Order: sequence, then structure tokens, then C-alpha cells
Amino acid sequence: MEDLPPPLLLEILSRLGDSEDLARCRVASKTLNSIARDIRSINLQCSYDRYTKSRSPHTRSSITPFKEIFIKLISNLEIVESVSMGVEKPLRYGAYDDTEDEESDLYLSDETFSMEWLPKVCRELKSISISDFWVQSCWRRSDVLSVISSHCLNLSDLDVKNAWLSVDGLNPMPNLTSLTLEFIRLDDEDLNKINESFPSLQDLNLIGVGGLREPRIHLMHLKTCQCIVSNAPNSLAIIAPNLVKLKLVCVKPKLLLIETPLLSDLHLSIETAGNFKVKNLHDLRKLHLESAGLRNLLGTFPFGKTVRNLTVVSTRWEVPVGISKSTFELLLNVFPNVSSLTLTPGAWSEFETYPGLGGLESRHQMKELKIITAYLTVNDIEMTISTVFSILENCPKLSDMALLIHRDVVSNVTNNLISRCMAHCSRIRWKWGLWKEETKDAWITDGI
Amino acid sequence: MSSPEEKTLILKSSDNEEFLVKESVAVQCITIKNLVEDGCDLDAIPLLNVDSKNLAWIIEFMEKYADSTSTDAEKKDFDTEFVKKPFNDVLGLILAANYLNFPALMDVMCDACANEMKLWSVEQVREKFHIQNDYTEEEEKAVRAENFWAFE
Repeated sequence: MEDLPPPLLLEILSRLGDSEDLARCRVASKTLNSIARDIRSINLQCSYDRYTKSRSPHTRSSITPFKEIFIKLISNLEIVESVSMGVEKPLRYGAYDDTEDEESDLYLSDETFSMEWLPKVCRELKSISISDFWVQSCWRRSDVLSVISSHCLNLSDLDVKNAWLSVDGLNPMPNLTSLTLEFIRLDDEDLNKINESFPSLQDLNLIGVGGLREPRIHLMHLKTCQCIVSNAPNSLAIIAPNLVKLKLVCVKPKLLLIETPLLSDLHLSIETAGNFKVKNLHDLRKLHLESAGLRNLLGTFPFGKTVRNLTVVSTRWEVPVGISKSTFELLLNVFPNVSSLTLTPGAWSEFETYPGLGGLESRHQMKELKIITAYLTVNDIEMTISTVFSILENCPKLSDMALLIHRDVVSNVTNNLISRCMAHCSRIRWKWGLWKEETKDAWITDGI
Repeated sequence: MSSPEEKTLILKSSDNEEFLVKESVAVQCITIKNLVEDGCDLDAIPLLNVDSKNLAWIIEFMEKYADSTSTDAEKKDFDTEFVKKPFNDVLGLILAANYLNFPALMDVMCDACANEMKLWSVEQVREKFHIQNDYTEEEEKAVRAENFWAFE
């Protein structure tokens, strides 16, 4: 068994997620110790074990404070390009019971603490990731962004989680290309300071960011964006001429404005849209639409002609009034060129009950459909089968049908469904699977 | 279905077993790509540092990654299963991927190796990597003291 040469050992050691694991490797042999000196990243996570030991009177005195370890690691390395510090589950979210924590030993976004290590490594530092301890950070407003922006001129990636951040004294950071703020209370209610200070951002992730009132993302170089906000913001605007991929999850903003002419991949989840203004989505190829007010939303969506790949999630079943079109017909009206369609359980159930596939217009509109993926609940097997058969009849180009059946469906019903479908049409490539809420989808590769 | 122009290469392992692989698949290994581009006209490409056991696995991986119909999710699932091998075999594949200069495989195998090493003790590191403790008693004491916090 040939031993690994140093360059390969370095490659492996630099992928070790934790500096603690690396420390033990350093003790294992002189060779590993000297190789480890070339690693330019620090990754220190406070485990639950370490936390409990630091709180228990018996072990308290024999545990080194987390911040002290971090400072030591900083002093060991010549060049530091990437820093990642955080707390492990279950210390991460507010779920942790110990709400009476007045200490600051794990208050990682503390600007005073950051002044102890940042100035030493800021020259080469490219990436910072801080996953703070919510219990200690949520009630303390931090100026760490100001410290980072005045020292780390070469920083390209910044990721902060579970903190309360102020934007006072935030200096421009023209080299920052990626910013992630997750479970953050941000004192920049319209995102003005963010837009101003990070003009070169290409990737922006605002996930569970509170404190926003009329957020407006206006970034010229932005390519990918994730914006997951609560129902607090009054309005939401995204103006990004180079944006290609957007995931937007909001509740009911009074005004939603999207100006992203190059967008090709959109994931939009919205309960109801008050005033929904979308400009120029001429390149939209992939769309995931999720809403309780799907029919209304479809009515205001003028840019469906280029969409090839469509996923529809209906969170509230709507009964079409009188002779109005079924949701499926509406979908095909708005998205006539879809070749791959995914219908999640609510959307499929709606379709089963109101298929509306009789008209000639519908037949014409389904000509591009090649792949259908659907999540079935099979409340009435005959209804499901007749819906499947009618799709097969109306979609001449259909080549693949991937159907996932709810795990709670009795197995002989599932088997019956599968065998009848496969017997009915052999020109199609069938793919069968099982689904359940909160569980990963499972595909049965060879039928049953 | 391969087009009539599609070229097939013969890759020969160190233990003289021959494997047929489409050129478009095999050139994911930059070593092989360079050989082909330099106009190598041997009947079979000899891979002196890769035995048949590893070569078979490497070809399995190459074919999955060259398949344009497999989605990212499918590749991830494939990777998860592929790396479930004894640690020595993981190291063997890393060496082979390095020799063949196959970046995708290197990535997957090195990540798997690092993942395996989580929470290992000092003794485990030595045993699994077959490395000797080359510290003197004093040196070991010193380096342990320097990294004391990792043993709390």
C-alpha cells in the first residue's frame, strides 16, 4: 500500500471541516504537522459537548474558552485566507432551552472580539463565516460589519448567521462578491447601506432577515439571489440587470417589483401578491411557482412563453367558478412551451377534479410536453387512472412520466395503479417513486 | 447509441487487464486526454500505476459523470454510494485519481476521506494512514501541549 505523498495529504487535510480534527492530525506525525502549516484556513466549531462541559461546575475549569482557542489558532498560521467559526447544533437556533445566558464567551459577532484577531489576518483574508450563538447574540447589537469593512479590503465572501447587525460605520467593500445573511436582525430597513457598500455583489442570500421595511435590492452585478423574508416587509423590489437565478419567498407584500431582464431560473413562493410588477422576463426557462393564490398569480404573469421547465405548487385548493378554466388549462395558456412539468400534490389533486381537457385548444397547447412529474395522493384510484390516461392521450410528445405515490397509500392499490398504467402505455418511459411530507422522495428504479 | 465516429480506447491496467472505454468518457482523465491529443497511437494505453480493481471503479465513475442525462441529484446519490468502500480502497482511489489527473474523482474521494476522518483520535490517524509516530518523547509532549485544547 503506497503511502500518500505530501501534496495529497495536504489536499485531504485542507478539507477537514474542523481545526480540532486537524490539531489531532498534527500530533500524529511530524510530517503531518509540517504539512498542516501550509493550510490557510481555520474552521472552529463549538460542539455541544464543549458547551456543556464549560457550563458544568465539575469540568468548567479544565475547558479552554472557545475564543481563546481561536486566537491561538490565528497566531499559529502565517497566512490565513479563510476563517469559519460557529456553534454546532443543537446550539444553533432559538430552540435551545437555556435562554438565561448573560455570558459572552460564545458571542462570536462581538466587534470587540473581532478586533482581537481581524487586524492580524485581514491582509490575505478572503472569506469569513460566523455562525453565532443566538442566545448570546440576539440581544446585543454588533458593529462587526464596520470592523470587517475597515480592515478586510480583500474579502470576497462573507457569511453571518444568527446575529443582530448594525450598518453604522460600514465602509464600501468593492471586492465582496458573495454575501449571506441568515437569521439576522439587520438595522438597514430598506437595504440602502447594503446596496451602497457592496456594489460588486454577484451572489446575495438574505434568509430570514428581520428588521426590513421596504427592502430594495439594487445591484448591477448580481447573478444569483435568494431572498426569504417574513410577512413584515411592506414591499419588496429587486432590480438587478444581470440576475440569472432568483429564489424569492415572501408572504404578502403590498408591492412586489422584479426587474431582472436576464433571469432564466425563478423560484417564487408567495401567499398572495398585492401589486405584482414583473418587467421583461424574456429569458425565463425554469420556473417554480408556489402560492395559495395560484390562479390570480397566473393571471398576472405575462412572460410564460419561454418557460421550458415548470414546477407548480398549489398551497390552497381553489375551485374554479362556473365555466372558467381549470388551473391546468390556465397553466398551459400561460406556459404553452413547457416541455417538463412537475405537479405537486395540491396541483395534481386540483387537476384530477377539474381536468378541463376536453377542448381543442387544450389539445393544441399540450404539444410540447415531454416529461411530466407528479405527486399523487390516490384518494380514488379510478379518478387518478383516468386522469393519467387522458394526459397520455393528449400529449403526443410525452416521453417520460414520473409518478410518486404517497407512502400511506395501501400497497395493493399502488401496485394496481402501477401495473394498469404500464400496461396501458408502453411507449412511455415510466418512473415510479414514493413521497411523503418531511421525507425525501424515493425512486423505485425497477417498478414493483 | 454511439455514432460511427465515436472512438473507443483500450485502457490497460498494471495487471494487464484491458478495458474498453469511449474516448469522450476517458478524456475526463487529463493524463489520458493529453496522451490522445499528443497523437498516441498505441493499441492500448498502459496505466502502469492503476490496477484492474481501481480501474474498474474509475471507469464506473467516469461513465456516470460523462452521462449527460444524469442530474446533479443523481450524481450526488451515486457519489454517496460510490465512496462506501474500505478506507484503504478510498486511499487507493485517491492515488489513482491523482496519477490519472481526474479532478472530479479527486474531489469526491478527498472529501470522502476528510469526512471519514472526523473525530478520529491520534492513534486512529496513525493506524489508518499507516504512518509512524516520528516524534521523540519530548517532541510529542511539546506538540500535544501546543494543541492541548483538542484533547479536552
